[in-house]
Amino acid sequence: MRVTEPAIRCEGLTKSYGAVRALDGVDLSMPAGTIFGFLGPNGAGKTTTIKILLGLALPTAGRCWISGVPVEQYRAESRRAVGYLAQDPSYPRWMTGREVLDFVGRLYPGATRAVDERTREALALVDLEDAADRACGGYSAGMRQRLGIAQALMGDPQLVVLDEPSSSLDPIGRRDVLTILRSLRERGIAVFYSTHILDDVERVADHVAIMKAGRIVRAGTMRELTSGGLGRFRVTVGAPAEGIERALAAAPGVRAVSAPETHDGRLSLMVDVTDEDDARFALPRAVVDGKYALIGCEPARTRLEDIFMESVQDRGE
Amino acid sequence: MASNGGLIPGFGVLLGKELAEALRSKRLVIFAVIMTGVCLLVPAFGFANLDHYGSGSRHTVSDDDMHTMLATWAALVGYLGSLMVIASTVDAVSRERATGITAWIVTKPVSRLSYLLAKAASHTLVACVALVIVPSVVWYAVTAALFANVPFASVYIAAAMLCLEMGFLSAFVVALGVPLRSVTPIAIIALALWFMPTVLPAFSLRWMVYILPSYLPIEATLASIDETSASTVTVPIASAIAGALAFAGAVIMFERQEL
Repeated sequence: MRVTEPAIRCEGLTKSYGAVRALDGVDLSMPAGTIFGFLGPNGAGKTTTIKILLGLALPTAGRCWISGVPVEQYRAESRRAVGYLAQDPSYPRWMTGREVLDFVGRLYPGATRAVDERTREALALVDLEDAADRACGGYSAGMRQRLGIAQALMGDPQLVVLDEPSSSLDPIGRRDVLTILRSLRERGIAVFYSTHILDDVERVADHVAIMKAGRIVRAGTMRELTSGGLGRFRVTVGAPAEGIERALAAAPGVRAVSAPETHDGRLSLMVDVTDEDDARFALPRAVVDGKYALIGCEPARTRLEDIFMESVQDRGE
Repeated sequence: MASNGGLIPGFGVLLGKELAEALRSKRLVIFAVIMTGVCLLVPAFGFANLDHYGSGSRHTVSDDDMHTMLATWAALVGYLGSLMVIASTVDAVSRERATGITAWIVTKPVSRLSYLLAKAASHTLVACVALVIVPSVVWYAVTAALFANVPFASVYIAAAMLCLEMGFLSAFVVALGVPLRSVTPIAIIALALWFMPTVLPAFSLRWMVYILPSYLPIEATLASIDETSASTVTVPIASAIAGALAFAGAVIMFERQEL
């Protein structure tokens, strides 16, 4: 496989169930070795897209490739390139965690490393060594999810597809999953990550696509999507603050200062600057030197949540 | 075990998983114990009803009495075994599909053919061993210990037919799990197709008794008492072909099915 090929590429992917069009011409490209956040409200078509990518469903029209290999040619032997974690993973309840990994590992006979070695490494990565010899029917949701990530890695894949991996987890479980995702990226494994927990995506994803009603309505790198406020700071001070606009405008590197907005005894001002790094120091100093009560000074980036809401809500809602 | 490559990648590993699951199943152990116990009732009743016990350690009974014992054994294994195979195979595919285990497995380097084949093969193997071979060996050993004139060849042929019956039914019920997602219709259709021709003999289409797989238990019963005819050959052959066709149809449908 060529490493330079996108981990995933879709062109005009369409899927209809009778009169219902679940996917409507989805175009997608995911660079290799990155974390890709695949967002959308329930029913947007995320799981259908994943099913087509994994060969669990056939598209009505369009094509997709995984690491340059067309999915329709994605025969059993080629599936070793992809690891998959379902939204609500389920395993034979009588199997222990170690037996699940051993079973999956033996389905990849061509893997370069022995099954035992891969099993040990996967258990260590997801911190499941202590529970490895317990029947997985008694695992908690978080443990099942971690076992799911471990089994997805048993074939030494180039791409891992995770469908809502942290939707049923508590905050600690979610944090653990994000840590695992980062470590996968460090090992050069691409992660395609479907979720509607925007905070998680904001913390780990390099690329994001937002789906709505079977279409990609927004896509790009995380930086591209959240750079709406590049070069802009939000400064918050305690009211009253007579002359704060002039004080900020006089600070080095400031291009413009908006009119202040008062809320709950605070004044907020948007400040456009020429250099963000300089502004991090210059703006607080201007506030303090002017004897104003500084409450906050932070880059006024567009948040992913704002972009998501704007993308999925119909205009006029 | 088959290799992971070729036409049926992953078959060996999947078969191993299915057999391990079957061995852990209490249902199967209970069925095997019941079947063995029921089979043992045949020589026990035969011995209890002897007119003359004689002086030797083993007793010789009339050909008619021996035929009655042989036919009872074959009919018990054939019909009770059919019910047990349907009961143990009815949720083989639907349960894993409902829980997402099927989708999980077929995203690995295995083919859908391997998945279904492993199911059918394991259920056949387990049914043959637990419902035919073990009960029949125990039954034969006890019968031969009590009676002197127990034939071997006809028992062997009948047992082979009963094993074919288990194979046909296992493959057929596994195949039904592809188009049908719920256990109830699978059980109803399997029971109806299997028992209806026996309950309602094919009066108008007499030739059907030569090809219908559901006549396998009857053919096994007749074979056990050396009452062979053309249907002794045609029914097993037709059953094997019908089982293979039903399974092939299910595989073709399964290949395109969304999971």
